[in-house]
Amino acid sequence: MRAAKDNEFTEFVHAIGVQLERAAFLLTGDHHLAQDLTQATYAKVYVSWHRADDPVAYARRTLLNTYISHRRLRRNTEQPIDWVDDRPGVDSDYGERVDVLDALATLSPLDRAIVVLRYWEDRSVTDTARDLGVSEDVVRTRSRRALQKLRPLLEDPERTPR
Amino acid sequence: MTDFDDDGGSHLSMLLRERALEVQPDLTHHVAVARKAGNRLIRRRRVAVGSTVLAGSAAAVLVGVQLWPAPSPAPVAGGFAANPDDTSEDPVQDPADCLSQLHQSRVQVQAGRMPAEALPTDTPRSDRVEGDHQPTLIHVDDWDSCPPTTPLPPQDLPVTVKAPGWKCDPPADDRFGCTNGTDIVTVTVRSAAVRDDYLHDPDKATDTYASELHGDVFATVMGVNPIAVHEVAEHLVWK
Repeated sequence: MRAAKDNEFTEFVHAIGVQLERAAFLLTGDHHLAQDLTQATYAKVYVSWHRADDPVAYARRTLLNTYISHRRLRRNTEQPIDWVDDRPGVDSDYGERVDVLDALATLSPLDRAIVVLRYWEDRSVTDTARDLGVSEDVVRTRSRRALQKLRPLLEDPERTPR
Repeated sequence: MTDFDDDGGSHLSMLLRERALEVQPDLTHHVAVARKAGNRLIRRRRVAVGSTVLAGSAAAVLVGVQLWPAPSPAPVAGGFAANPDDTSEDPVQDPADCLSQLHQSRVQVQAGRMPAEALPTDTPRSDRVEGDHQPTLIHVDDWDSCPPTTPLPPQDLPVTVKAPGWKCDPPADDRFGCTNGTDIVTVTVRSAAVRDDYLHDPDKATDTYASELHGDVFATVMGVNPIAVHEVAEHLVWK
């Protein structure tokens, strides 16, 4: 039974692993944190393997919950980063090239998760609301607010994305 | 694509996709690490369950020892086998029995006042289980002598919602969602250690409810409609 579970789990990780870690990377903005986040998620999925009706949905929710919980705890000991205008390549009027990860870092954890789900995974408002356990109105409102905040950072049409 | 294309959503989607392409995870490595970590979690949960079940027995043995102090490891009170090796004669049928026997042997060691330096010292701190009275050391290797596991019970949080007209999803991680068809709320179980920080978090949604402490946890109810949050909060049922 354990061998069958391990085989199923291996197939599962190979099926969704790239997508999941890319989501983790966009959420955290850091390769090492993304690896830690996905590893923690995989471990929880492995433990709950026979109980999860939909392992993909379970993994996604676990990833998001772990990320948001982790960020909330960390924010007790660190100051949220708003825009820092002394970074290389960044003008005070945001006229220069801005990395999308730096722009995402200006958002709250929930807003960042909503942006990643909506604009990277192309998930609907309904699905995003279900994944995050919030209402659809919250998703719509926060999406709009996040885009308004990101737009001046990302609107340079001449910019070449990294 | 989205409701916000004209606000830059499509441009943002493109940037995110291009940025994510640099992530090329080593999935084989992830599988190996996850299995190891997952099995460790399973072991710890079994230890926790076993410690709870056997705490009463351990206390009885310790009381017995206080009434009849034993100068040597041989005599043991409380009805356990006099010789810890006796348990090795019985075939181990399931993990619960195996756990019980492991725990008995530990209790007998304590009853015999085995010097602390004789206990395993290479046990990682994270694999030690703190009991009500004294730490119970479970050597990692002991688990290898136990048979593979019985299925774990369904994930269970210490709180549920029994509100008329509301339905809740099964718990995922530390939270679950509930809906009455119109409103959605999320119930999250949190550690008591973060309660003060949580209550004073300026970024917390204004309509969030935080319960009183129940043991070492508390629950929060979050939603958009304060009436819905209040309704669910009033129907939290603690186990």
